[in-house]
Amino acid sequence: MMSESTTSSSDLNCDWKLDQTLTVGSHTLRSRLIVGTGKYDTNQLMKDSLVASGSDCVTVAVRREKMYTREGENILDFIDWERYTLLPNTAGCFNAKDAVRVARLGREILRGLENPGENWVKLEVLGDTKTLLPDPLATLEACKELVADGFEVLCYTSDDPIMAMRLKDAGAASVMPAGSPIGSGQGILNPNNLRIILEYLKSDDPNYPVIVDAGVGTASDVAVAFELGADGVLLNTAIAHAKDPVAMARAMHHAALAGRLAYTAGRIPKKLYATASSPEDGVITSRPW
Amino acid sequence: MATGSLGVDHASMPVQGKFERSIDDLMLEIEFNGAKRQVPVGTTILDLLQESRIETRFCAVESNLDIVPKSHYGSHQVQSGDKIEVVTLVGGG
Repeated sequence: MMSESTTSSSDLNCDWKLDQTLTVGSHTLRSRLIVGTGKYDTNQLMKDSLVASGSDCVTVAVRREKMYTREGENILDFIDWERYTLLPNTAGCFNAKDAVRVARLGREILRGLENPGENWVKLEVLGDTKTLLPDPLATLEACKELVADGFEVLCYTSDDPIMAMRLKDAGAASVMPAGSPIGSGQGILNPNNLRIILEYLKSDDPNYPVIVDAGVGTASDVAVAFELGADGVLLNTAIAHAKDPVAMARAMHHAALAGRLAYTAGRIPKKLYATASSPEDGVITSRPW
Repeated sequence: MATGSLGVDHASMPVQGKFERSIDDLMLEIEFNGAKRQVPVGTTILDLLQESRIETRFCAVESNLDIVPKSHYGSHQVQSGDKIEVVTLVGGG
């Protein structure tokens, strides 16, 4: 896995490979990408895409068992849960009570699998079926209750910096602002809000993990999120609904590496006017002024 | 105790002796994943899961919104009117 990382690290005289891990609560992941497992045409395509993404953490949803009509295929037959840390979500919940209930059921399933993900949850409490925007009040309420119940809560929220602070204060292990609406592929609509969130949440706590969750459309969106300073990116649709999901998963992997590396490398400031790359000293040509 | 939940006409049922019991004493009605279901008295969670060929490793079970621990599946007998919910993991983002 990640053979590129191994080969390219040899010609880089720095410990950037160490920086490619993501720590959230008690979990340390080998990749900064967290990928979803929904919307794939087949489970096999999902499995191949997960491998291509280089991720070691995947989100899953909790749903009612299909009775009698079961085709005998469970997604867990296609996810090596000794390799991947599962991150159960509360997708489809529109109030705090439902979200807490679903989070507890997810924990119960993962306990049975002895998967390390049993103590955490991706909390999402939505306010509206059309926009799938989070309900901030219900999200905060559920976050508090789940933290009190011992969960490490990775909290999906909008890109509102004040809400992000409230969730961190409520004990969220990670605040996960949306780049744009879920599944919209619009990328990061408000990078300035993301900058403020990162500044506020990390001001007294530089290692506090902020993960951009939702809205990614293509690899450059992932790179932008990391270049802004995000610690992780969580995405699903951009891979699952790409024409070639496996290739897109690979692209996302490279974008994550490139974006994070660019962030730690430190970009140049933007300037209004040009700065010549070749020296002025010794020019033999005339100037127009 | 369930009474008449199967709509059986008790008056026309054959009397088999002084120990004869109504069928309602042997069956009870529960709601299993949203559907009404008649099950014999004494049915356990494990019975329900096995009958529906549900992989117990991959599921979680709620009885009236309370989680039933896996270690209790074999001993937890359903009661009349119980709402049993069985969930598993599916693909999601």
